[in-house]
Amino acid sequence: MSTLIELTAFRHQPVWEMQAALYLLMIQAGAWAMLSGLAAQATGAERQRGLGAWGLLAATGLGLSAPLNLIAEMLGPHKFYTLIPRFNLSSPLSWGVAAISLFVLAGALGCVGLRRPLPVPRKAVAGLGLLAALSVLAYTWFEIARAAGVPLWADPYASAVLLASALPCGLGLALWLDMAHGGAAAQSLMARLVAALGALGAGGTLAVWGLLGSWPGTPGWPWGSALLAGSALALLLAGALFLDRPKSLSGSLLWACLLALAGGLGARLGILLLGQSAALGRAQGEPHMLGHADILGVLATPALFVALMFIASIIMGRPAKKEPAAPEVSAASAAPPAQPEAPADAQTAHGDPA
Amino acid sequence: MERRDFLEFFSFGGKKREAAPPPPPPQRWVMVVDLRRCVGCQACTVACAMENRTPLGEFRTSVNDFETLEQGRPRKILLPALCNHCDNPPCVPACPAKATFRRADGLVLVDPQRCVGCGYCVLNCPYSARFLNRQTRSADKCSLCAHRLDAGLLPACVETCIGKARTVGDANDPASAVARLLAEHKAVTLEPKAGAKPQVFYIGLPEGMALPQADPAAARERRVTEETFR
Repeated sequence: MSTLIELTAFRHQPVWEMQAALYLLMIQAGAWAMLSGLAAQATGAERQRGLGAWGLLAATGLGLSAPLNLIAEMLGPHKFYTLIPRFNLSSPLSWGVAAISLFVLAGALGCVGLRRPLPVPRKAVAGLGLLAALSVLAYTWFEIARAAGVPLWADPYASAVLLASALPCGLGLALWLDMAHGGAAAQSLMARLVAALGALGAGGTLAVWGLLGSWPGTPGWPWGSALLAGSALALLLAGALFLDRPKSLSGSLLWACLLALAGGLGARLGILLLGQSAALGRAQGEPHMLGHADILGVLATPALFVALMFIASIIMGRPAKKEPAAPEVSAASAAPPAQPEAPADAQTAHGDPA
Repeated sequence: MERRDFLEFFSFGGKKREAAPPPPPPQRWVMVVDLRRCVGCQACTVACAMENRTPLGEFRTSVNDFETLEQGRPRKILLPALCNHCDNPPCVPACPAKATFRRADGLVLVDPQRCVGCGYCVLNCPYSARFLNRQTRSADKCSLCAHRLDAGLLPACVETCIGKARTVGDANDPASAVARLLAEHKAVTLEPKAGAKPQVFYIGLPEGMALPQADPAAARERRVTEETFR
């Protein structure tokens, strides 16, 4: 017995469309940006200092703007706050609310710590950030893999592609922002190699998944397979470009970032819509690319992220508030140092006459 | 001990206290669909839409029409689809707002006041029985007309079915029509592999029939034509 044709079938509309895809891309890229920033800070290298700062800033910006996609796609956005008191232990979405809250808190603390001393140890903030970023990545994995009604998503390839394709997006954004502010982290082979491996891994996984025959020919949305094939190609190209040493902002790094973002968004859109179309048995209908949102609604959250990064750029351009230096306790400093009399024509470091 | 009990205890020939009868088993609503009686008239679809005022283009129940090949011969299957009110519903633990719940009598319901409309329960239903209702701004699905059952009435689809294909009742009551049907016929459920323990049973469903959504990679573009039988 095999099912051949559906002659008459009343089918429901897909529920997670463009804004869900954008949400997944932004929050997972944010988590990878946070991990990149923390890893750069942990190395302590002078060249990685900018990556450490811009990784945290990009992660916080993405963590603040990404959930707006989720809220906008809900039918009752005014009830979003009720998800916090009604925590459901068995729901990945409840864990997601907790993970994102922690993520935004850790990111905000880390950003404040870039400019002024914090009342808590920096290692504690870094540990909190690490935990939050890993929680976000884990929750998004289970959110997709445990959706019992969509067989395409139950395949671990789907969650692996989503997770890996966000790495070049998050790390690439942090590298590009650092380069735009005069940093040299993008010259480091290690950072570019990690981004390239993420992009090549995601593109390769998507291609292997397709070659195994899981998504090509999936019923419901003929263009879904084409979108996923294009995304695999974009990610593989991005991986190749990340290996090139960038010389300017308009060079290979920018194109690598753009291709990684396009591949990441395309992969999410393809997996989400193709999976739902097949599950709902929409053999005749195609999902709406934009879903129930309009183009301005979809562009709002990336625009908010750009605005937040612009504000961060202005703040980071100002001199930072230094921590008070600890008094030196030594025999030499016990006696008050003799103040040499400054010559009449001496000048300070700023060039002002003393 | 009360005075009457005390006197009864010490009296000769006092009548024995009868043991309290065991409490009746809790009610468990199930539906049995006899596919041999379904004519695919969609009267149930329309009655449900009118009773529950579902938005245009969305239905809590409908009769799907499949054509299958069985031992080289085409066979048409009319399959009424609705929420299966599972004993182990995947939608209930997935809901982040605890808006979907399972009542003691087995009905799986949605509280629209609590539902935030995230759509995750829709993605967790193995039977594609849920949808997002943009009028009520919440997830929506068949409630087995809980408001009618509570008032002692039959669900709208059952009452309107011209072929008497749908029967609803208490499976724990041996005298109920559903209990008799389940005892007399071989009834199967859809997608038992999903592990949801559905409580909508079908009589006359070919064994091993997989719903299209259960195997998205299965080719469904084949058409039954004359060449199939040559």
